[in-house]
Amino acid sequence: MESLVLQPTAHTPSVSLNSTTGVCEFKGRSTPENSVEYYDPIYKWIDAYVLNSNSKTVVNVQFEYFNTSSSKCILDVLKKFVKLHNAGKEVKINWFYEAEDDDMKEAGEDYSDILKIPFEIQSID
Amino acid sequence: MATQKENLFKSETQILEQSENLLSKQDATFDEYKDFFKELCFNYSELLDQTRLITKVSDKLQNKLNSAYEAVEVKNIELQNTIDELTKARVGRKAQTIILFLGLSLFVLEEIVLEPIVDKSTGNNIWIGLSIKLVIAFLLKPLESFVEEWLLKGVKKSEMASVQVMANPKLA
Repeated sequence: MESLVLQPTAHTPSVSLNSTTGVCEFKGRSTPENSVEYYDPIYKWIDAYVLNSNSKTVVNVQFEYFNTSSSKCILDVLKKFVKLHNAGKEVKINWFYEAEDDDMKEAGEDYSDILKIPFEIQSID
Repeated sequence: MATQKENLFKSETQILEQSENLLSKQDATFDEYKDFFKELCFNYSELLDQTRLITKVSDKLQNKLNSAYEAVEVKNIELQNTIDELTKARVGRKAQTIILFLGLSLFVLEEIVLEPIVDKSTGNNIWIGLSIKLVIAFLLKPLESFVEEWLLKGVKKSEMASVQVMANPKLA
């Protein structure tokens, strides 16, 4: 299975989904004009990965900012990893936020409350 | 945009359609209803969590926008003040130059035209000539203020006109 790498733009985050290492990373701003269209290949990649995943999957999320529709798409992405966790695989989500960005920290806490899987919220300088 | 919203809530829309299909089914059993209701409760709970999350995110976004708007407003005021001060300084320099030339011209005119007449009619009374020069000197400052005000009015008028043109390009 091939990795999925999406380069960042002014309105979209950088995405790196690596099936070999099991490390999935999302970083940057997410305010695409059409969130569903942007996240669709990511959904498809994760659906395929879930069928043949690593024993351990680490999801690193570091958003600076995201719009309302992206918040729903991010939740849908993370829910797919919850399915993997519920299937008995080791899944850990690391939610990074910039030290002074309380909004992103709170968003991480909100996602953590909903998802109920190992979820670490870490501040970065 | 409508398509995006429909797709964004694709799975939720599917669950609603399934519920409506079950309701319209004539021969559904109690167990079928019960199983589906259980699933519906789970999905409803998920949807509620999702709604809470999206509402929070949306509120935070609005707060961020409000803060950004307020910061822009403050910067706008600072910028306008700086522009006003710069315009005033520029106009002040222009007014000073005009008054300098006006003053020089008045002194020269007084010396060449008025002085001989005054000398002739008053018998070389230096105090009258000196008084006229003093009057001209004291008039320079109020004249400078008047010229400055007049120039500032002109600048503001042209600024207003350019703002109107920006708002309505047809006026250009």
